[in-house]
Amino acid sequence: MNRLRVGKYAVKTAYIVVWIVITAAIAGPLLGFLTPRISPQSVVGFGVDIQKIGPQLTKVFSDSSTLTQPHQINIPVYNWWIFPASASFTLKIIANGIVVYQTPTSSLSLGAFQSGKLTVPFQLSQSVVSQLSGKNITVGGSLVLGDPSYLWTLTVNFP
Amino acid sequence: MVNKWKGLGAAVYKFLIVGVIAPLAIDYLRPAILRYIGLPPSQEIWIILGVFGVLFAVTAFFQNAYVKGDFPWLFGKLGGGAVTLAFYAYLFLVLPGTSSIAGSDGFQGAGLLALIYVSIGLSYLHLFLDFADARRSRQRGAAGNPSNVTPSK
Repeated sequence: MNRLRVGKYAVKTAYIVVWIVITAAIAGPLLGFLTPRISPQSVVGFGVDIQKIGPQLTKVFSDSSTLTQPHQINIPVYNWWIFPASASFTLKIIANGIVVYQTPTSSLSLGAFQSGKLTVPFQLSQSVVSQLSGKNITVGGSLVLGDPSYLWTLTVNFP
Repeated sequence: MVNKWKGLGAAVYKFLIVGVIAPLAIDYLRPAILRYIGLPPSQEIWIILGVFGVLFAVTAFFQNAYVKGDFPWLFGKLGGGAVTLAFYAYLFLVLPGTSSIAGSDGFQGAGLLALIYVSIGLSYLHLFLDFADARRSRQRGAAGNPSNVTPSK
């Protein structure tokens, strides 16, 4: 086989390898987004179950007598995929549109085919609780996801 | 020899995937996607993906209707790479920038885009080598063809 043809096949192989990496990096979050909707019992890919945040916060704020006690929110993160993944979350408590409390950023790193929980601990001081009384309280946050984070990250700020 | 039907088939396939099925899927998943990142209006996505669909179809026609080594095939290959590059640049750079959802910083895919540029660079290098190889094989074939041999007197 001549050198031209050897070079051609080597470049073609490198091209295929790069495309496999690209496809896998795109497919991870895409499958993690689609499979829980199609088949919740057999989830594939990378994702975060943000539906679990709301009920936990509702429970915290439902009892005003325990507001100053330590609390924590657990956000399930699943990474049934070939790349290592990372997720970080910052919780904000907003009274009448003003952020009165913000947790430090909690982070979680997962290896390939690992799942875990992103734990966000917080404890509201008495002064923060007093700022909340009689005001319209909303909860916001910032969620940063990457799988792998050197190829892409997704930042979701809410509300 | 031009294989018009093979070229047309490839063009229709590319247009359907990029210009019809992709925007339909985005429209179908729009409520779920909007919970994570913003999207431009549906009409804008249809127009832009429609244009990309046409560009992909034209380049696919030239790649499939002509034989490797022909200059229209080369045009199709070069054009296809350029359209792919523009398509992913739109997907990863422009699309998150047009996110209308409040507070969403969207998608940062610089690493992924760099990898896509590397792949397009590799595909152009392969194209150059493949084209040179095809033309050399064609020249060798012509030299070895008995019809080119001058009969000895």
